[in-house]
Amino acid sequence: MNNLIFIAVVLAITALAYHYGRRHALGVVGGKARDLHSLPGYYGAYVALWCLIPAMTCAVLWFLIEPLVLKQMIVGSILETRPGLSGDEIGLAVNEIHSLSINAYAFASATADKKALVGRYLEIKSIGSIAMVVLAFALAAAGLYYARKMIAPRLRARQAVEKAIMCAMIVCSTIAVLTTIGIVFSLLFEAMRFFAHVSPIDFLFGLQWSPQIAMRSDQVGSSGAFGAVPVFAGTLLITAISMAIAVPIGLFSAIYMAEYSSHKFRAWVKPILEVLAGIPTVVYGFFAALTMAPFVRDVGQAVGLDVASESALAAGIVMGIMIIPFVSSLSDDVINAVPQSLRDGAYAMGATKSETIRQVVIPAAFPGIVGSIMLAVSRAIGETMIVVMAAGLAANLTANPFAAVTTVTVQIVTLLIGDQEFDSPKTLAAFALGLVLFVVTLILNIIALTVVRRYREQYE
Amino acid sequence: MAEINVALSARDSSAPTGKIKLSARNVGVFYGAANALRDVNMDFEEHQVISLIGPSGCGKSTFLRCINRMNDTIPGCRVVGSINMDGTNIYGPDIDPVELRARVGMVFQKPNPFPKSIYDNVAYGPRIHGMAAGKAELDEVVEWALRSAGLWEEAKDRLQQPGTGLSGGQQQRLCIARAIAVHPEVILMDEPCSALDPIATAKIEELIDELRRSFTIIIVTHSMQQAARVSQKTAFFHMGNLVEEGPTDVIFTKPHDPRTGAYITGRIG
Amino acid sequence: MNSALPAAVAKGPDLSKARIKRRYATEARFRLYGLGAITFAIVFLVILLGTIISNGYSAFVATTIALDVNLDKAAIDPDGTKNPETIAQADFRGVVRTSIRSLFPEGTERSQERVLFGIFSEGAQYDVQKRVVNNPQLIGTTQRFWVKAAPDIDMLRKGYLVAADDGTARVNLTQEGFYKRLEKDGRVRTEFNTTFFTAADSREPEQAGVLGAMVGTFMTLGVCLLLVLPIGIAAAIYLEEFAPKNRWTDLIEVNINNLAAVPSIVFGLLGLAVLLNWFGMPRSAPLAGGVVLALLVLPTIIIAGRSALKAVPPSIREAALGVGASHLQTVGHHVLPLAMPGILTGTIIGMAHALGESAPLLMIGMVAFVVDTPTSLTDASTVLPVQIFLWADAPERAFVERTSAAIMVLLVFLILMNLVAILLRRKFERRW
Repeated sequence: MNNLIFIAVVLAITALAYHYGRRHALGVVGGKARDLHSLPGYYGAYVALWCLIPAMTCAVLWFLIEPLVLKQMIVGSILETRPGLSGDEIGLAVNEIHSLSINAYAFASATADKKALVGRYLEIKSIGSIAMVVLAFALAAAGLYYARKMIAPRLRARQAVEKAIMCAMIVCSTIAVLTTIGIVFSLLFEAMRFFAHVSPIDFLFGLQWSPQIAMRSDQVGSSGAFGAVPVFAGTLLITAISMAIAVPIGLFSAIYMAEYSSHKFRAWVKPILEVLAGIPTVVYGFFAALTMAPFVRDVGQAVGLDVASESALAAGIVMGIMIIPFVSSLSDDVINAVPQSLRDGAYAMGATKSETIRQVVIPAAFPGIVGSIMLAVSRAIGETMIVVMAAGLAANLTANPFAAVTTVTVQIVTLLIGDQEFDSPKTLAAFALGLVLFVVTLILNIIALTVVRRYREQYE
Repeated sequence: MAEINVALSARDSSAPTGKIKLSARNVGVFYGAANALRDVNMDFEEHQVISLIGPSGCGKSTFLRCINRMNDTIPGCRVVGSINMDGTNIYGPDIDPVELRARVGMVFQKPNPFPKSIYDNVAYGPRIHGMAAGKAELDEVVEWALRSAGLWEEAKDRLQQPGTGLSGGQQQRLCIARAIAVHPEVILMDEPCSALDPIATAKIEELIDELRRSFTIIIVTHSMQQAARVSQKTAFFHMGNLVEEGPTDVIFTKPHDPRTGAYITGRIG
Repeated sequence: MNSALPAAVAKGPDLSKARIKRRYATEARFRLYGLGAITFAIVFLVILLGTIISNGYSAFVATTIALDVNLDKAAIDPDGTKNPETIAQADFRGVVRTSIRSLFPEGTERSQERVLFGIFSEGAQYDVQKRVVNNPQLIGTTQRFWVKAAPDIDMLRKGYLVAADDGTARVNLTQEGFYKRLEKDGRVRTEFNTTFFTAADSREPEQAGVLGAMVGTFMTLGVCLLLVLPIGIAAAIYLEEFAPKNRWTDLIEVNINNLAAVPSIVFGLLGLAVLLNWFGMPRSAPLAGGVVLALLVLPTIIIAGRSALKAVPPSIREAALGVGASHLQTVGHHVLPLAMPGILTGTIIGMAHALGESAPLLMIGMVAFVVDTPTSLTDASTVLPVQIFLWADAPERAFVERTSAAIMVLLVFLILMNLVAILLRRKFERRW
C-alpha cells in the first residue's frame, strides 16, 4: 500500500512539474509560443520527465537490490545470536526470518529471539524504505531544478522528449528478451542446486521416480529416487495418444475447410472450432476426470480390459481434442498458402479433388504441416491442467495406454504445491524437470517456427 | 528435334484433316453478375494450332478455360451455351469434368511443376488414369512424354530430382510433358511463353509445331508474332466478344473488322 | 507407323466406367473423412458443454427449509444486555437444535437426532446469529428462518442421490423420511442460490461461492492489463515502426515468437523463483499472479499489436511526414489511433487467455484455500480457474455441481470478452 502512495505522490509531482514547465517556457518568451523551438507542451514534458525518471530509477533500483541489502544486514544480527552457523544455515535462517516477517500467523508462534530478529529485520527494512523515499524526492527536486535552468527558447525540447520516449520503447521491447533470460537463469540456477544433490545422469537415465518418499530428513528412505525416465515416458505416452487424436482430426478438418467447404459453412464452423481452442484447460481437465475417465474405464471393463481410473488414454483423448483446433488452424493456413496454380495443374490433368489434395496439395504443404504438428506436440508436452486433473501421480514405466502414468508437468505441480522447504531436493527437482520441459519445447518451437517460416517464404 | 518426329507418329497426320474437333455455340461466361464473355461461336479443326489473341481482360483466357471446364473450380463462375467435342456437349449433364480433362490437357501461363521429382511429375497423369500396368510401362510412358516435349536429353540423368529445380523454360516443357503423358486429344495453352526468355520461347514454339501432328492445340497468346509463327488459325477477342476468326495469314494481312486491324497494328491493346 | 508409341500411351487414359466410379468412391470417402472430423469436433464440443451445463445449472438454486426459531431470551441474552458481542457468544447451535426438535413434537429417539440435525446446513446457526446480532429486538420472539438444507438433502431434492439403508448411501431412509415430512408440511422450497455469488470458498458446499475467486480474478487481471497494455503497445510500436533491421531486433523477434509457445507452467516457475523467492513478493497474491500473467501474454499482445500496425497503409505515414511531423508524431497522431482497435482486440483476446490460465498460478501458490474475499493486491486470494481446479478435487457430489456452475460463470466471462473483441473488430474494421 505504501508503494502505491509513493507512486501516486511521484505521479502528482510529475503532473505539477509538467504544468510548471509549460508555464515557465511560455513565461520566458512572454507568452509568444511561436518564439519557442518546440510546442509549449514539450517543455512541460521535458521538466516532468526530469522529475519522474530520477525518482523512479531510484525506486526501481531499490526494489531490485533491497533483498540483497536486507540479507547482508540481517546476517550480522543472526550471527550475534547464533554464532558459528555455516553458509547454508545462514541462508536458511534468513529465509525463515523473511517468511516470518510477512506471515503474521507464523510470527505469533515464533520463539522470542526469532521475534527479536524479525523486529530488527523490519526495522532495517523500514529505514531502508524511508531512505529510498527521501533520496527519490531529493532526486526529483534536483531534476526539476536542472530542467528549469535548461528551459530557453532554443532548447530542443521535442527532440529531448522524443529521445526519452524512444528509450522507454526500447526498454519495453527488451522485456520479452529479459523474460527468456529470466526463465533460463532461474531454471538453470535452481536445477544446478538440485544437481548438487542428485547427479544429472541419475536424473536423466534413472528408472525409479519416487520423490515423495523424502518427506523428512530423519525418515527412513529419506534419499528419495529421482530417476526421471518413467516421467518422460509417461509424458510421451500421453502426448502420443493426444497426437493420434489431434493430428488426423485436425488435419482432415483443415482440409475440408480449405478445399471443400462453402464460404457459408466455413463462416459457421471455423468459429465453432475456435471455441474449442478458447475453453480454459481447467475445464478440459474437469471433463477428463469427471466424464472421460469413467467412460473409458467402463468401456474397457465392458470388453474385459483392466483400465486404471486415471488412465493415460482418458487424459490423452481429452488433450488431443483440446489440440484439434490448434492443428487445424495452423494446417489451414499452411494449406491455403499452397498456390492455386498447383491445384490447377492437377485438375487440368483430370485429377479429382481428393487426388489433387492427397497427391499435390498435401505433399506441397508437407513441411508446413510438419511444423504445425511439432508446435502441437510442444503444446501437448507442456499442457498442465488436463494431466494434473486426469492423469496419475505414480510414475509407472509402461507403454500401456490403459495404465495410469504421470507426466513432467504433473510432477512439477505436485512437487511445488503445498508448503515445503524450498531448498529440499524434492522442490528443486521440479526446477530440473522444468528445465527439461523448457529445453525440449524450445527446441521443438525453434525448429517448427523455422520450418514454417521457410515454407511460407517459398510460396511468397 | 529428330526424336520427336519418331515419337509423335501415333495419330500422325501432318496436314489438317479438316475434321471439326470442337465447336463452341453461344458460349458466355458470368462471374457472379459480371458478364466476362458473350456469345462465342467458333469451330476448331483437328491437328491445327489455333491462337486466341486480344488485349488483356478480353475474355480469351476465360474462353480457353471453358474448353476443359477449369472454370468449374472458380466459385461463382457460370458458363452458358454449349461446346461440342466430337459431337458431344462437354457441358452436358452426364459429362464428368475429370474425364473431360483427361482428354483435354492444359499448360498454364506460369510453369507449375508439382513439388515432386521430374519423373513423378510426368508419371502423375498416367498414374491417376491407370494407364501403365507396371513400373516398366510407366518408365516407357515417362520417357516418351519427355522425348516428345524435347526434355529427355536434359532430364534423363536427373529424373529423381525435383521438377522445381529446372530452369523456367525446362519447367514449362516439363509441364507440357506432364500434359501429353496422358495422351489427350486437345492441349490448351494459356500464354505458355509469357514467363520465359526468348530462347526458351523459341524452343516451346518449335515444340508446339511438332505437337500439332498428334494433338489439336489451342493457344492463348499476347504476342502477335507468336500467333503468326505457330498457328494456322487465329481468333481475335475484344471486350468479351469474339470479334473475328479465320486463317492466321488472313487475320494478319486483311482483317475484316477495323478493331482487329487496330489491335494488330498496335492502336488498341 | 505406331511402333514408336508406347502401348500404354496408345491405349490412352483409362476412362472406363468402373474405374471412374472407383475414383469417385474414393473422392466421396475422402470428403466424408473431412466432414466426419469436423462433426467429431463439434459433437465433442456439444457433449462437453452439455455435461457442464447439465451438471451445473442446478447449482444456481438451493434447497431451503423453513425453521421457526424460538429466540429464547434465556438462551441468548439472559441478562438483557442487548450487547452485540454478548449476543454473538450465545449458543445458537443449541437454539437451532431446539427449534429443529420442535418440528417433530412427537419426539425422536436420541439415536435419530443426529440424522435429523443432518438435514440442515451447519451454517444455519450463523444465519440466525447474524440476524439476531443485527437486530436484538427479535430476542424473545419466534422467527421463521429459511435455512439452507444440508448438501446431501439438496442433492436428494435435485435427484442426484437416492436414499437407501445399505450403509453406503449418503442419505438413509430415516433421514429421507424426516425430509419427506418437512416437504409435506410445505417447509421445503427451492430458491435462487445467492450464496454462490456472495460468498468466498468454504469447506461446506452449501456455503461456498465464487465471489472471492471473482474478486481475485479481477485484481489479477487488472494488474496484468496495467502492465501489459503500455508495455505491449510500446514494444509493438518500437519493433514495427522504429527498430532498425539488425541482429538484435531479429533476436527480439525470434525470441517473442518462441516465448509465445513456451508452456505456461514455465512462467509459473519463473514467478516462483524470481518474484517470490528473489523479490519476496507475497505468495498467493494477485500482485504476483498479475505479473506472471503479464509476462505470459505479453508476446501474444506484441504480435497482435504489430500486425495491427502493419495493416495501416504507408500512405498515411507518408502524408503525415510530408507535412513536417516527426516520425514519433506521425506514429502517435496517425498510425497508433488507426491501429488502436486492432491492438485492443488483440489485448482482449490475450486477457481472455489470461483469464482461463491456471497452471502458472498454481506455482505461485494461488491454490491456497481462501475463505475471505481479498481486499488488496497483496492478500492471499485465488482466481476462478484455480477455484474450479480446487473444487474439482472435492469428492462431494454438491461440489461437482458447483464446479460446473463455476465453469459456466468462467465461460460467460470468456464469451463476453470475445464478444467485445468481435464487436470492436466489426465496428472498426477498415478496408484500405
